Amino acid sequence: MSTKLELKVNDNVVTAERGELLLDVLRRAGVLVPTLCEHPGLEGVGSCRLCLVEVNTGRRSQLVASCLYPVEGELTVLTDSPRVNEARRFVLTLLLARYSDVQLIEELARRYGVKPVERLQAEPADCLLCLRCVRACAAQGNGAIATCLRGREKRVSPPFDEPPADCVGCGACAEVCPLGAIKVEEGEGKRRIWGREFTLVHCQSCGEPFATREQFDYLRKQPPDLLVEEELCPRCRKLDQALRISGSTT
Amino acid sequence: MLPKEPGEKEVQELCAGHPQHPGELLALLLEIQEIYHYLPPTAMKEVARYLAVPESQVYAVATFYKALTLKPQGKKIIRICQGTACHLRGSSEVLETIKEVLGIAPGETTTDGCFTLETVNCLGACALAPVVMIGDETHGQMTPERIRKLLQEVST
Repeated sequence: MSTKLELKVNDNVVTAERGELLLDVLRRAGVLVPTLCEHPGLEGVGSCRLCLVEVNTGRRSQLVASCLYPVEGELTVLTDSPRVNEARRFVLTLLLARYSDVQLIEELARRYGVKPVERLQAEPADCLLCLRCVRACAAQGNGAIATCLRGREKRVSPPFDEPPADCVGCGACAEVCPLGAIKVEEGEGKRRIWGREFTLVHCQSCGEPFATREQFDYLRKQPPDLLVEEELCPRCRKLDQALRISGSTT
Repeated sequence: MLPKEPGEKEVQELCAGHPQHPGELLALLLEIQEIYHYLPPTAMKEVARYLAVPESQVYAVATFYKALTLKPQGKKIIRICQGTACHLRGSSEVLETIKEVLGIAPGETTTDGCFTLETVNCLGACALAPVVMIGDETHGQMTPERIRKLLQEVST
């Protein structure tokens, strides 16, 4: 059985590998699909519902989150149909009610012509619960943060609402947050995040802080023993290697 | 007296009764809840260590389920129904009486650690309205006078 499939996307023919995620196929074909919770380095969760598209397998047509939908057979995909637009605008209406002063959400709302709805009065919040931070932390192998409570009270927090013991201060959670809701402070050789303080490691060549002491301690504990070089930041290390290679050939 | 905080050894013994598999998390937490009437942080940390599950995951599960609580609970939990049938038959007055007798509000525990008061939306015994549960026992057709007497009986 061939692993190549042909999909019909908005009247164009697009090829895909069997099992490939629909969102990846659409992106490759240059189709614009809005997303918030999706991140190329992390496994999808489908929590923001913005990437909804309409797929028709021949038997029936349905709305699916394209970030979680593996292409398993011939499909007709509509990314701009009235049904898709209605669903997407509904999601954006709700998002706009809660995150009205977040630039990213405002821009998305404007692009899809969504206006604030007077009767929807939501408490403003700075977290989308897209779980990018939780997934990034788990992917690093730390799992220092997770969601706690449920329903309206659900939020991302370190365990026991204390400074997290498993955190190494890598800052990956803040890096992937689409709304910049996770606060990181740096100063006087320290990084502060989630209520904990970490010691910054400076590059011996350029002097820039590029990691935390705790990150190196964590890496050294990983089997098999990773060769951990603390002295140089990634940029200076590449430069150093390049110089060594050019030095050895001349 | 409030239920005492379990020692490290007691929790380790509890853990040893379960396979070291992440799927045992909820079962273990429920067992600790049953014995201590709440989940002490030290016990949750021990469970995380034993199952090799991140502490954040244990905290996520512990805060997700209504059956699990992080606050110490009294020996007996008094559940008073505030559902429609019980409400119409005067459960509010019964609740006021319990609050007055025990000196606690819903969600609180008496200082002697005997009782925790909870309101619930239905106990599934509307024909007996208003219904109060004390521990595992269900008491129907409560009135301020009857609950006062009942509380006196279970306190002694």
